[in-house]
Amino acid sequence: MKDPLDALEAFYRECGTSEPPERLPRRSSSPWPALCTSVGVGVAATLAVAILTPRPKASAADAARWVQQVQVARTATPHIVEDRPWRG
Amino acid sequence: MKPLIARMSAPTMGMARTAEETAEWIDSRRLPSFRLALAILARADLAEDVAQEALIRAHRAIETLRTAQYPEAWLRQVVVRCAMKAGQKGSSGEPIPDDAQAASGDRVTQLAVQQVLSRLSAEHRAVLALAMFEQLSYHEIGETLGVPVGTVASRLNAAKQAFRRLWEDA
Repeated sequence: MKDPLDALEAFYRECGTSEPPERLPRRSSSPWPALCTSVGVGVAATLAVAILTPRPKASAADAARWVQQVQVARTATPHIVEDRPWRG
Repeated sequence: MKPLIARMSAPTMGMARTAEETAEWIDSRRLPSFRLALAILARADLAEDVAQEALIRAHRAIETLRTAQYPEAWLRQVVVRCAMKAGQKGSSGEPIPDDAQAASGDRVTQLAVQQVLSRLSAEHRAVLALAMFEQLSYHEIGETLGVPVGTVASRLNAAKQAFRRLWEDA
């Protein structure tokens, strides 16, 4: 029978010529990187939609309502309106 | 000018090496570190991790290595310690492929060696690899493992006996 230590020596000779295995990048066992990526993508998508969606133009009725509200405010709180002319 | 390995292997004689030279030398020791770790662990995946960890430690200790008299011995000690630690965490040997029955005789023998090695203690695997793979003297093995020469001799003998016994049981 072959001496076990001969087999061990042969194994060590193999080790002496071995190359590290080519491996794919290791996948992290932590869920946080994937979770953060998902949340980041979600936030970015929401912002993009909010920025790129065209806003509806105010109608004539909206403008008239806004002018009326300003006039009511001037009447009710003249001191504030007077103190802050840039807001009028 | 001498080759890098020779310059790094030579005693410093009080002259520090440059950081670039030391870093280049560390990077050149990746393959030898992997092979030593493989001889101890008998698992390529773990050996690669160990070699990586050892080289990272070496880069962190670059100032020590610049002036170290024997950087090769320093790095070998780190590789062995990392490999023993990885071995203690539990390595069950390389998974045996499904086609092992059809594998050549040499491949079957190699798989059997890996299985037997995986059942040895980390200390026995380390002393076998340092003696039979690295072919170090008892004195060098003792310095690497931090044990007296007498302990190296008895541990090596015990490791060989354990290997033979497990081989016959397998």
